[in-house]
Amino acid sequence: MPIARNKKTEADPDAIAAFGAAADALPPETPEAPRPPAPVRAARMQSAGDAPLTALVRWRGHEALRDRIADYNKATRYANHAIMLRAMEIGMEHIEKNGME
Amino acid sequence: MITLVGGTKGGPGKSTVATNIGAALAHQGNSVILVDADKQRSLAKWHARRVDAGVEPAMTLVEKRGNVHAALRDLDKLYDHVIVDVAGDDNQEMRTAMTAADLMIVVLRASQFDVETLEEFDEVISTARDFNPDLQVRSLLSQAPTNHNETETEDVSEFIVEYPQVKPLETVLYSRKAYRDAAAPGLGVMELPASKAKQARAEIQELTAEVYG
Repeated sequence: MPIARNKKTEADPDAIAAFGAAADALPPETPEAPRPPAPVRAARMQSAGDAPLTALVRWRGHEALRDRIADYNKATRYANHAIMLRAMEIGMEHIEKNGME
Repeated sequence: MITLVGGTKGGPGKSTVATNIGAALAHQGNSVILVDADKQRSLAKWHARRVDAGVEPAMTLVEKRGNVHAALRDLDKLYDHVIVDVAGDDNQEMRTAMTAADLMIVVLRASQFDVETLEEFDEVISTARDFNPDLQVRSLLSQAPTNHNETETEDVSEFIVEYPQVKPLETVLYSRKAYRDAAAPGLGVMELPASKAKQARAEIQELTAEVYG
């Protein structure tokens, strides 16, 4: 018995046009947010606008740490990303109190 | 089949990928049309040099700006392969092509600045799939360093895994002179003498085999 193929529903042309036009409506660069007054560590605060949205981690020499994160991910099902962020938060608190030693 | 070659970062070699895929598919006996939807017109200029030199197999090229959705769907009925090149930013041509394409190849260099564009791009893919649920998005690492001591390629491959909407291609295109040599006379690397482009030819063969089977 021949099986009929359902015809694909054509997407709404106006909605597609609006989706496309939205790209050109975007500002070429995100306008810089007004900077808050810089109380402490002014130099660092001012560079925050240029901070990358993501970062690569090179694990060479730190494979044990990588494996600890992966093991915790497997044991708990927390995402690697969430574990790394939490570890960095806790680590930064420690560093800010005690320095890098 | 409509293949969109795009991304949201300039300079990773999108036009090089488009011309080489097009030439490789044409040599396999497919009818190929190239759609230049980038105001830089790299594809159109390459094609003009190819026509002037009388290179075979011939390919058709059209230039189209703005909303390209309907044009791509029409061309898809007439050609085996429609290869679309768009500018390296988030633009109207890329978005509307995504709503029509079967496959998008996101060309990325193995660099922080290239891969971090995936963050914003993820949302664009989601919306495009609302219109075109069959859209496949594959990432292609390009201009990878030939020095195998460099780890960027491996680093980026691991990073892309974080974006489940983008499925990485195993093929990697390395930074090779053959790609530049081929572009000037309107050729694909497959059309250069094997002695001068052995590795680049192998990469393009691997790419077309992986993408088109």
